Amino acid sequence: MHEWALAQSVIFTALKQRPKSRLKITIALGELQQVDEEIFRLGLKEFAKLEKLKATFSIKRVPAKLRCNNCNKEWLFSKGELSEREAESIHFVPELAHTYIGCPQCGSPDFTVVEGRGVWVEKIEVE
Amino acid sequence: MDPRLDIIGERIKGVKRLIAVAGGKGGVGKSSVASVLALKLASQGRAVGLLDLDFCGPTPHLILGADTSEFPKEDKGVIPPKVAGIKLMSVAYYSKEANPLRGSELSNSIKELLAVTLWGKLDYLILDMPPGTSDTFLDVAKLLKPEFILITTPSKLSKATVEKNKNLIEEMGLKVVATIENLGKDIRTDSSFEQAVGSTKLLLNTQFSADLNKITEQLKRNLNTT
Repeated sequence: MHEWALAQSVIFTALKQRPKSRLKITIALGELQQVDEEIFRLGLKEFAKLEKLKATFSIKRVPAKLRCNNCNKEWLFSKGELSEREAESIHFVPELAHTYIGCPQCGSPDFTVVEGRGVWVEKIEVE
Repeated sequence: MDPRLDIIGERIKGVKRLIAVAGGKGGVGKSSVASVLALKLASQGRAVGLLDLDFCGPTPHLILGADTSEFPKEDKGVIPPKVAGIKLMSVAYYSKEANPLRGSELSNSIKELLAVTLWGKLDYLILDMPPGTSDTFLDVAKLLKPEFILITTPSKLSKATVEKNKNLIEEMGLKVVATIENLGKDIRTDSSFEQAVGSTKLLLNTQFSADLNKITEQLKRNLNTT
C-alpha cells in the first residue's frame, strides 16, 4: 500500500540523524492527502523494526487550508462532492486537487495549499 | 523536513542508467523519442522504465497505447504498470483532465511520484521531460542527476534553444549523451508514425524507430544488463 511508501520515507529521514538512542518523531499528516493513519502507523512500526530504529511516533492531523490565487478566498479541503476516484487520485498526487477542485467562491483551479498538504516530519528529538 | 527527499535515492538505486529526454521547445518529439527508445530497448531484452514528467501535457501513455483506466497496483508503494515490457509511470493514471499546476506544484508532484514509485531493478529509466529549463528540469537535475538526450527540429529557433540547454546542462556538471535532430538529419519525417501511435507493434516497424537505431546502440554499449 502507498501509505507504506510514505512511512518508509519518514524512517529514512530519521535514519539520516544517525540515531544512537530512542527518537521521538513528530509527524504532521495533511488532510489533503487523506492518509490512512492506521496503515501509516503500521508502516512506521514495520520499517522502524526492519531498519533497527528505536522510535516513538507522535502524529497530528492538519486540516488542508486552501487559498484562491484569483479572489483570495480561503477554505478548508473536504472530500465533499469528489468521486471516489477523484479523491483517490488526490491521495496519490495531492496536487491533482487543482484538477478536481475549484475555489468555492469564483471556481478558479488556481489556488495555493497554505497548509495540510501531505506527510511532513515536524521534529525529531532524542528521548 | 520533507521525508520524500530522503527516500528518492532508495527508489532509484536499482537503476543503472537514468536518461532524460529533453529539449527547449514543445512539439519537437521528446515524448515520441522517449517512448520509442524505451520500446526499442525493452524489445531487445533490456529492463526499462519510462517516467512521464510532463504533468501538464502527458502523452507517452497515448503513444504506447497504455491502458490508464485503472490505478497502478500497490505493494508498499506504487508498482508502475507494464506496457510492452516497459514499466510506465505517468500522471495519466490519476488524471484524465488538464492539470493546472504552478511551478511549485509541479515540483511537489514530481517529488511525490519519485518517492512512492517502486521501480525495482532497471537497466534504463527514461524520463520524458516537459520543454524548457523550468521547475521540472531543475528538480530532475538536482534529485536524479540523469544523462540527457536533447531533441530539436531543423528549425533555427529550436536549435538555438537546445544549444543553450546543452551549455546549461554541462555547466551544471551533467552529461549530454546526444543531441538528436527530429524531422531532419537524424530522424527523418515519417508519415507512418501518426498511424502507428497507440500500437507498440506498429511503432517498432516505423522509419522513426529505425532512425533511433544509432542512439539505441550507443545506449546499449558499456552496460551489463539486468
